[in-house]
Amino acid sequence: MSTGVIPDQHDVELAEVLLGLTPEERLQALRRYAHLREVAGKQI
Amino acid sequence: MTELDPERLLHALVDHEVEFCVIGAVAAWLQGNPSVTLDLDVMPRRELDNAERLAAALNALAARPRGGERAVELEGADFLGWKAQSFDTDAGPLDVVPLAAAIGGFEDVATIELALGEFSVRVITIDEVIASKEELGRPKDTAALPALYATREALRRRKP
Repeated sequence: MSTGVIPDQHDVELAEVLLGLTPEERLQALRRYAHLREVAGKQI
Repeated sequence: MTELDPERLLHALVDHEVEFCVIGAVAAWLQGNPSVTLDLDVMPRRELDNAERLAAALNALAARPRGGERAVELEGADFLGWKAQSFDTDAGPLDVVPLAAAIGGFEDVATIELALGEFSVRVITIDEVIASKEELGRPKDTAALPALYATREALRRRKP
C-alpha cells in the first residue's frame, strides 16, 4: 500500500516548485518541453 | 511522430464537446508532478453520442492509428468496443483509454476540474493516478511512483 510511503524530500521540493505554476502555465511548459526535445532530437 | 501540443489536443476535444477526463502522466503533470511525458491519455465517457463527438474531434486532428501514415475517417462506432487505442495526430500522440486498470471508466474515477486559460478540463486525481500505476505494476509504472508520492505530499502540504 502506498499510504505509508515516505516520499523523497527532493522530489517533494520539485513538486512544490511546479505547484507554484498555474495549471495553464504547466500545460504551456509541457508544450515547450516537447518542442525543445524535438529541436534537440534534430540536432543529434 | 508529431510533436506534442497538449493545448491543441485538449482544445479540439473540448470544442467538439467530448465528455472525457485526462488520465496518466499529463493528469499528474498538470497537478504538479515533476515527471514529464510526451503523449496525452484521455478517458472518454462510454456512450455512443460521445463516441461520435470523439471521432469528430480526432478527424479534425487528422488522427491516424499509431504508426500509420494516413489519416483515417473515424466514426463513433470505431470506439464502441471501448478498447484502448493509440493515435498520432497533427497535434501529437493521443491515447484513448476508456477503461484503466484499478480505476475503471469515466463514471468511476475521481476527478478535479482545472482551468487552462480559455477552457477547462477534468483530470483524474493524483490518488487515482497512483492507484492505477500501483495496479499496473510494470517497470515504468513502478518507476513513476516516487515522484507521484512526492506530488501527493506536496499537494497535502498546500491544503489549509
